[in-house]
Order: sequence, then structure tokens, then C-alpha cells
Amino acid sequence: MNLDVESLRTFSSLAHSGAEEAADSLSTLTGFDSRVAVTKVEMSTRSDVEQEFCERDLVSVHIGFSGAINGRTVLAFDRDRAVSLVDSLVPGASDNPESELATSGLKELGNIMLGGFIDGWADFLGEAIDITTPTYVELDADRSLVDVIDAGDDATGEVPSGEGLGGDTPEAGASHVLAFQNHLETVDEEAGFYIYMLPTRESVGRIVDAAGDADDALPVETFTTFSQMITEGAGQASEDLTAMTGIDTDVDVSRLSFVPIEGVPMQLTDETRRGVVLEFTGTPSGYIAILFDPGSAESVADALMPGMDADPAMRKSAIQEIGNIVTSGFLDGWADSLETTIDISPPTYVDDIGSAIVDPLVAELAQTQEYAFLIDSAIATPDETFTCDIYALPDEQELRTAFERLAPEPS
Amino acid sequence: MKVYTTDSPTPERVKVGVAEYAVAEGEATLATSGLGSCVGIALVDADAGVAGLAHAMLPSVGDRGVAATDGGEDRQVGKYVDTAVPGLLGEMADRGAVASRVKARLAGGSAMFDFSSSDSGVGERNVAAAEAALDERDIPVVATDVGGDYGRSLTLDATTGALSVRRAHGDERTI
Repeated sequence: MNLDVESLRTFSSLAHSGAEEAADSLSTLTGFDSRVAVTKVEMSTRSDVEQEFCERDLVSVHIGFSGAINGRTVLAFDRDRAVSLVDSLVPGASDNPESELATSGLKELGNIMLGGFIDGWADFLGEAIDITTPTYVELDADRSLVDVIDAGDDATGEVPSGEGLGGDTPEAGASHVLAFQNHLETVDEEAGFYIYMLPTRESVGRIVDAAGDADDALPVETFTTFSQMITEGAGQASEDLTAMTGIDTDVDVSRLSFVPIEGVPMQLTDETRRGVVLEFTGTPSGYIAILFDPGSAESVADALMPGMDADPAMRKSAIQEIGNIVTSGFLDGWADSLETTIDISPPTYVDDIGSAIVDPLVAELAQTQEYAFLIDSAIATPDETFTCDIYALPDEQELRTAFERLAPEPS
Repeated sequence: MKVYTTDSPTPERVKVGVAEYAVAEGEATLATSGLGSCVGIALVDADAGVAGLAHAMLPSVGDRGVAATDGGEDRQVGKYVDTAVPGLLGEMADRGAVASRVKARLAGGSAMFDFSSSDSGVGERNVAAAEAALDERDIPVVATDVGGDYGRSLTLDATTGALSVRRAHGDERTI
């Protein structure tokens, strides 16, 4: 199966309008005004998708779809938000959020919101898409999204086993897939809703056939190879960070997604972040930000200078040094795999509003591109001593050129 | 089915995303966060009690061709200063604002990084484009907090037109 940027744009646009439909339905039904904050096309593994869910206390409604395209959609709410929604739908039901009355209220909401989300895809393909009866699922430490999808597909028979996430075979399920993530938020709060759409591999192919530009298409494996390369880069950065600080670290998240460029700063919040920003040049060129929350920045600086009463200037240079190490760990593997040289600029120290740090990088790229390939990774210590977030934004056109090197002959 | 209505004692707070604008009336605030080189354009007609806030990313739509399919029409209008200003004014007029009474405040447009691959100074150009677009429509800019090498988040009081500019670490000033 081949994939091209035009198809990714179509995917993004369909997912965004679908999410807007869903947000409108939510407002009509409950009075909660919501807006679509970010729509991302993620080239994810199942575990990456799962990761996004397992860190939050969520309840969810699942609906399968079949027809023109097949797969599964998930509407997830923060638990507190779900309780207030239930009360607006079924007054009094929030007194007992576990009750049949409360969960059926959420299922009905899911049915309407996800139905609206799917309609646009059916219109685009000019063919009907049927949706299944919604199921209500709580996600917690003992019950992950992937468990639910696997079990749900088997138990209900609504969607054939294995088609939920990855494809027709269990092996395919473990491979990279596309997932469409939409973050909805209410106008006054960050807390929100998430709509995931997980089409089968065949269904992705179907839309690519309808929307794509065959001349520009690359085998989907090119994207997944690159995604794998990012994971390896994050692994190398994690090892280097551990070697330098003496603190064990793991790669928490490693993702490649395709987003409208203005959606990138919205990945970060108003919270202060400290770290470094670097520019890289080569094929591809782009920008990278290595960011810590203030507590993590202190922990990292302490780890580099144990027992020292370091002044702010020393702490700043420690953070810069860490930024250098993480960046080269992260990017060196790319240069090897892409058989190219990637030069990295000296780090610029930042201590600012998180979203404002990324904003100028995005504005630079926005002069020549409407969408961005966003690479985001997180390296963390198991005991949460610190977390290091990595955001890389390669130039879209140059990344495509690099992809062509990865896959000279589209299959 | 009951329609939920809020009895919130706090005034309406409207969030404006990157490359978007929004209009509010009366007891409301408009807020946008994370302006780096982006420029925040705050417009208020105090007599009508109508205010608008834009978070624009680039100076001009004319710098490049924009495909209509890229993210939808509305999204694009708010992305560029030269389309966001008339778009915002138009929407404010629909809500009762009169252009001759509108006053503007600008914030953002900083130069946080000195990238080797770029000689553009996007922040500075954003501010200049905003000033030009407002001047062309005879809208006075009564206060600015622009430039520098730091980020800003904004909250606009729709009633008074006061624009609160917050930096990292809680530094805040009102213009």
C-alpha cells in the first residue's frame, strides 16, 4: 500500500470536519460548547495509541464501523467530565455514575457524536458506512484500550477479530497503523474529549486510492520505517541521557504525526518550560526543541552536578549540554539511515511559555508549508524524577526527499 | 432530553487558538496563549461593548499561494495578519461594532531565535503588517507590547478593552 502527502491532507481534513460535526452534536445535546483543538494523523503503533490513554483517567464509548471503510472509533472523556455530561443528559444520573442509566446516556451521546464523525468519510467516498451499537468501556491500569478492542471485537462479533487496529492478521495488528486523533476542548477549559478513529489497513488504502496522488506516493512502510527510526533515535537519546546523568531513563512516547501546522503549538500549554532549541540542516533540515518542566530541569542539572551548589549560569549551561547530547542521540541515527549528514546548530537556551517556544519554529516552517510532520518523544525516569520532551519539526518537502531515499521504488 | 445551561458566576471566557480569531460581547474575556513571533491583535469598540482578538502567524496571505483545501477557509483567514484584520473587523461589525470607534492594541511579534536559515524576522514583519492593516482602516493603535525575545499570553477584557499581557514566571502587565 502506498501513501502520499495529499492523502494525509485529505485524512486530516476529513477527521477535522468530522470532529467539528461531533463537537456541534455535543453542544446541541448537552449545552457544552466545545471546539476542535487539534486533529492529528498519527503513524502509531498500537502501544503508542494505548500510551495516550493509559495516563489519563478516562471513560470511553466504542463504536465499530463497516462498509466503505472498516474500523473502530473511540470517544474518550476525562472521568469528571463524563459525570457532568451524564447529568446534563440524564438529570440525576451522576449520583450513580456506574448505573445503567448513566452509561446508557453516554452511549447515546457517543452514538450521535461518532455517527456525525463518520458521516463525512461516507460522503467523501460516496458510499455508506454502517456503525455498530456503542459499547461503554472504562479504561484504567487493568484494562487498556488495546485489550478492549481485542476483547470487544471477539466478544461482540461486531467487527471481525484483528481488524480493530492493525489489519487482517494478528501480526499486522502489531505493525504501525494510522490513527486519527482529535482533541476537543470546551471553550473555557483544557480538559476535554478525544475522538480516535482506527481504520483498518485496507481502509486506509481505500481512501488513499480515492484521494491520493499516485505520482507522489511512497510505500506506507517508508513512513513506518521512519517512525521506527524515531523510536530508535529516542532510545539512543535516552541511553545517552542515562550515561550522562547516571539516572535510568526510558522512552515513554515516540510518535510521528501529520498535523495542520498551526496545531503544533497547541501540543504544548501555557506552562513554563526550560530547555534548548536547535536548528538542524541537511536532508531534512528543521528545528528541534528539548524541553523540561521546571522541576525536571532542576533534577537534571542536579544530576549533572551532584553535591554542587550550582549558580543559575551553571545550571543553564548544564541544561544546554543535556540538550546537545539528547539532540545528537536523537538525530544521529536519522543521518545514518538516510545516508546523509545532518548538522546541528549550537543550542539556544529557553525558559519561557511552552507553546511560545515552539511558535517561532512553526512560523518559520509555515512560510512554505501548511502541514507539518511532528515528531514528539518523551524520555522519562521510571520514578518520574524528570521527564524530557523532544519536539522535532523537519521541513516537509525535505523530509519527503529523505523518504524517497528510504524507498526509491514505490511498490 | 434536558438542555444543559450553565449558571456560572464567572464571565464568559473565549479561547482563541493559533491562527484563529474570535469576537465577544459584554462581560466576557478573550484569551490566547503562546505568542512567540505570532502577533496578537486586540480590537475593541467600548461603546458597543464588542471586542475581538486574533492570533495571527504570518504577515500576509499574499506571500504565497494558499490552497483552499488546506484546513478550511476559516482557519486560513485567521492565520495571516492581512486577512485576520478585515475578518475580525467584519465579524465585530456584524455584532454591532462601528469601525470608527474601534481601538487596537498589539502584543507579541518577538524574536526569540536567530535561525541561520532564515533572515525573515517574522515577528517584526507581523507587527508591521498589523500596523499597516490597521492604519489603512484608520484604526488607532493605542498601546503595544511587542518585540523582545520572550513569549506572551494575552487576556482581553471585552468591556474595557484592557489587554493583559503575561510572560513566563508570572510577569504581567496591562496595556
